[in-house]
Formats: sequence, C-alpha cells, structure tokens
Amino acid sequence: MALKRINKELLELEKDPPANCSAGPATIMGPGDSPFQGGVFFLAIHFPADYPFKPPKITFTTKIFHPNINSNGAICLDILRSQWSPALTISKVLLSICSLLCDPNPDDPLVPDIARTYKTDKEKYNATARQWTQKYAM
Amino acid sequence: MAKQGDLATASTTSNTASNNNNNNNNFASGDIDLDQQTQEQQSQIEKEIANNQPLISAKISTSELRNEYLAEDKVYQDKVSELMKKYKYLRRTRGDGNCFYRAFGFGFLEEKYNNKNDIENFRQLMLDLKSKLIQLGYLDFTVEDVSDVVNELIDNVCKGGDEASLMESFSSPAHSDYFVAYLRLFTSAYLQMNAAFFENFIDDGKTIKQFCNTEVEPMGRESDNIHIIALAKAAAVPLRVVYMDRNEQCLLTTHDFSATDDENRSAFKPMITMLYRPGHYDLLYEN
Repeated sequence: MALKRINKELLELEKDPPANCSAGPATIMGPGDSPFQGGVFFLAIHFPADYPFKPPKITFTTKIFHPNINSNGAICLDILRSQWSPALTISKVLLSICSLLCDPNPDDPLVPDIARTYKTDKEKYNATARQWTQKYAM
Repeated sequence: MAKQGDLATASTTSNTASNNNNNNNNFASGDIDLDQQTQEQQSQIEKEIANNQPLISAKISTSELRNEYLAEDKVYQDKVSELMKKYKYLRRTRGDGNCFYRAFGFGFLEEKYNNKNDIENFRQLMLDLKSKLIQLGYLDFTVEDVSDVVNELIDNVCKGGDEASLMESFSSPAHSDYFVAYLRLFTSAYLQMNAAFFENFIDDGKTIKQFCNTEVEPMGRESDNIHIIALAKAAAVPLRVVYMDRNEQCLLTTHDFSATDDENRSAFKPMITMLYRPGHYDLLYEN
C-alpha cells in the first residue's frame, strides 16, 4: 500500500513542485531572501517501511551552514519528527524546509554554535552561510 | 559545484542517507550523536512496546486486572472488584498513544459488522469526510490513501463475518494503523468544522487548525476529552468511558459521550464502553 502512495506523492511532486524545489533528484534552490540564494542544495529522501505512519527521512547531502541542520545533513524540523502525520506529504515537508532556510529556529538548535552566531552576530552568520553556499552549493 | 544527491528512493530500511560530502570539522561534535541517539532510543522504546503488547488482545476476564496491582493496593483492588460487578470482560489495546482510536475502531466494527445498513452508513460518512477534508485544504490522495485501506479492512471483516477476521485485521499494523489514521482525520475534520464551539476548550493559544495538526493528526498523540467528544459525535457513536484512577473519593466514575447534541441523558445506551486508566484506554464488555 505504501508504495502506491509514495508513487502518487512523487508524481505530484514532479507535476506541481513547491516554489524553489524540484523532484528527482530532490533539490531546493536557496531562497532569494536568505544567505543561501543562488545555491542548489541536494536532498536524500528515504521512506521507512511504515511510511506514511512514520515520517520520511530527509537529509541534506549538500553542506549547509544553518542552526537546524547538522553536518550529517540531519534536519531538525517538527513535522519531520513528532509532528509528522499521514496527512502530510513530501511536498509539504520541502516547503517547510524552504521556510526554515529563510527563518531558522535558533531556540531549538541542532548545532548550538551556529545558533549562537545567528543570535549574537547576524552579520557573521549571513557571511559564513553565503561563503558555504558559494563553496558547496554552486 | 554541488554534488548530486541520492534520488528519492522507496527503501524498506530506515537507514539514513549516505553522505558523501561531509568530511568537515567545523561543528561541535556533540550535536550529531545526541540527535541520532535520541531518535534511536525512541524507536527502541517503540519496538519494545510492540514486542510485548499486541495491537489488540482477545477478550479476557476483568478479574485479570487484579494481577496488575499489588494485593495490598486497596484503592485499585476495590475498584477492580467494583468493575467486575458490571463488566465481565476486557480487551486490551497496545499502549502506543493510539489506544483510544484503535479501541474505538475495533469496538465500532465489532458491533456493526453484521449490520449491512450501518456499515453502508459508515462508508457514506467516509465519503462525506473526504469532501470535507478537501474543502479544508487536505490533499485528495492522502485522504484517499487512508480511506481506501479502511474500506478494504471493512470488506475483509464483513466477508469474514466473525471475531477472528476482526482480530486478524486489527492485529496487522498495515490495516490497523490506517484505521487509526482515519479516525484521527475524522476527529480533526469534525473539530475544524465546529471550530467556534471547540475553540473554547483549547487553552494554550493554538487555533483549532494548529491543535488538529499537532495534537490530533500525528500518530501516537494521546486523546483527551475534546478528541472523544468530537469523535463520538462525528461517527454518531454513543460512548461510555469508565474511569479508574487513584482517586479515593469514589469507586468508579462514568462519563457518557453522546452521539448527538440533544440526546436524552437518562436513556443513554452506549455502543462502545472503554476503561480509562491514566494514559490508557481498553475496551470493556458486560458479557
């Protein structure tokens, strides 16, 4: 059953991808109002055996400087964890990841050092994020 | 130049993605392991529960509840005795946060699988629900995905026509969890359609929509009175819940959840009866 659903989701994603996203290979374009602008970020999507009851596992395979994304590419996002529900889709998750790129959540960080920089020295954060984007995502 | 990531793949393992390009050392090393460890520990706990508790049990004598409490635990032993006076049997559900919905789905079909009319009415409710959810902004195929499997489960149970086929369907996570997901959507839609009323019961500043997204729809989220009121009305199922806790003021407390807004309280006749002990619901039977 899950396979049928996954196929539908991928088809939907290809047909009508959210802004700044594309399917196969899954990518997110760095949003214009973020220091990731101009970068192309690749993602790996894995569906667990009990999908859609368990969330898809989505990780960045392109390095990114962000308080909620760690060096393994793991993303700290509520709907990828406890707030996932079978009514959600990959497409909605990608959209939320795009929002997370524009609006980090430094109060629930996966990488405390980056969160600290974000909160105390926004300029330095933006500069480093831009630098990483140029180096790894262009 | 960005490296090309893995294609989206449907894999049956839960291995995380292979990362080719993260040989960096710019991060504090603690954060990675802690995050992964937390997730692994959580899935370990879930596995343990799954290994030790079936999704739904056969009917057992309510007297078995005695074994769950110390013999000298007078409060609970007295309450079990009181419970046994009226209810002979109990059916356990797995303590995975879905127990209320699973008990509800099982109790409903157990009562109705021989009643063609009521089953057809339920299928009609499912169709109505689908259009309601789409109106509320849900994607048609996610709703269809859930309702297709629930329809299949109902087909199987009706064809089998006995308790064994009901047990079989509800013991298979693939079917049982879909029914739970379905009832969660059902509850969510009813709450959202009646937001003006239910808003008054949500006290942490969330909108009904946010409450549904975070406290109703995700699997494993426990149910409170507000969920129960909504589902009983949405599915038109009169429901009785017998509360058993450490309160010494009384033996057992019974709460009735009516199927309609104007039900006559004194004539209340439950279709499903559940036993609530803090954090968990099981099914109760008089006979």
